[in-house]
Amino acid sequence: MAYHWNFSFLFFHYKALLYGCIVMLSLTFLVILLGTALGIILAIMKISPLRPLSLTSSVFIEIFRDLPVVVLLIWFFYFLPLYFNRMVSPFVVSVIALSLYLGAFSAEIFRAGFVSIHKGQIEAAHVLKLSSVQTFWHIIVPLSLKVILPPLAGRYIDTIKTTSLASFITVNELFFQGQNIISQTYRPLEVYTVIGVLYLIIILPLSLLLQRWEHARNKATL
Amino acid sequence: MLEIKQLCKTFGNNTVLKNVNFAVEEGEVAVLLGPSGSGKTTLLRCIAGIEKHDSGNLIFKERSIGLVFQEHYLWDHLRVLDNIMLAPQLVQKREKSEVYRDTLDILLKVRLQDKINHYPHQLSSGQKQRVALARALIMQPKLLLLDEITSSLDPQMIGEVLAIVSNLAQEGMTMLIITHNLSFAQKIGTSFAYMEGGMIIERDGKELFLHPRDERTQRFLAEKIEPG
Repeated sequence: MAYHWNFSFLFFHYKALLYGCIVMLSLTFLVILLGTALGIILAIMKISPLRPLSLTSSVFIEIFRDLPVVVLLIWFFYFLPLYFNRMVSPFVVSVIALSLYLGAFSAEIFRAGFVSIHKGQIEAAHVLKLSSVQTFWHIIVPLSLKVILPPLAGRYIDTIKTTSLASFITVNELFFQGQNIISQTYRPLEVYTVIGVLYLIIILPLSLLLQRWEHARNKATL
Repeated sequence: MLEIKQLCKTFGNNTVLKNVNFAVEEGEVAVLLGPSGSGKTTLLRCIAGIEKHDSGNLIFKERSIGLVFQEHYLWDHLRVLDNIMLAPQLVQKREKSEVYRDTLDILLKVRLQDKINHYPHQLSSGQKQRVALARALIMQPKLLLLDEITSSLDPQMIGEVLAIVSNLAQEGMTMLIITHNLSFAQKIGTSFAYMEGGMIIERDGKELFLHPRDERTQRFLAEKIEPG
């Protein structure tokens, strides 16, 4: 049975799709920003010699890594308005839930990077009287990038895709817009094809860019 | 310059330094000799502040210390120039142009002026160790600690590093050196201490090599000078 593909109707919905892309990219940007900051903090806590800090971090990481993202999103969607006793926009809920999720995963990536540095290189900084903060930003972070970058880049790209789950709590991102168009047109195949292509257009160049950056960095340092 | 009184250091149940008394005068090139595991490196690490001693006192006239490790421990992501220039800019808040000028002078001294833009992985092990020396010297230390800096080098690389250390000694740099290279030690050292079991067994001038008083020192030197 032949299926008659017809994409022409999508021209009438390009504004909705474009808006969905903007929401998706904004969500991704904020989640990466907050999730990365949280990941660094959790990683520092986890390698800290202070047992309460490392234990808190381990428990946090374990919980947020083990829960499905959709469960997190829906739980925060119901919990946050109750906790703050006011409406919390689904977009803000998504930023919080997805940042916590990314933070838990990236914490392990950062931790692996930080512990990969030879102790002697940190001691050299200590002897030269660099402060802990200076040692962290000028020595530990750049030296660990080689270990951190490949899995972190993968995690960032995964974050772009994960934002589609925010549609479960009515965030107007690309996937949600697609569902809206389908409910009006009843042509899911064409809509999901276009959504898939849009994801590829966004992710592919980013993926290639990260690969090139990683390659150039590795070439420069070893 | 530096006085060490009754210094003790323990790792778990292992007492590594037992009431160490030691002093280094200005302009002195003190050499620490002793078998592996005798506590020499731990003593240097305590002086440099990497390890915290359990008891005793470290009295500095001026706490300005440079340490070069057995391994170079250069920062792989930075060029030779940046490896050297980072600390004086961040720690001493010196002007970049002034640090750059000093870096060029020091690189000339360690004969690496042509490697300024190289990354550590592009250097030989001897060159890396010379950069590590330059990185310590740029901070203008009053006391330079050298911990077996040639032990991980190929024989042909050892000479080039030792030549630089000899020059530093001639310029009057106060140094505390750990080395297994006895001929080098005798050439540049002004005082010698033998360490074993976490204690300074004896200390002397060049006499230590000729007439060691303690039986343990005699045995160590005999093994070193006439191996096999």
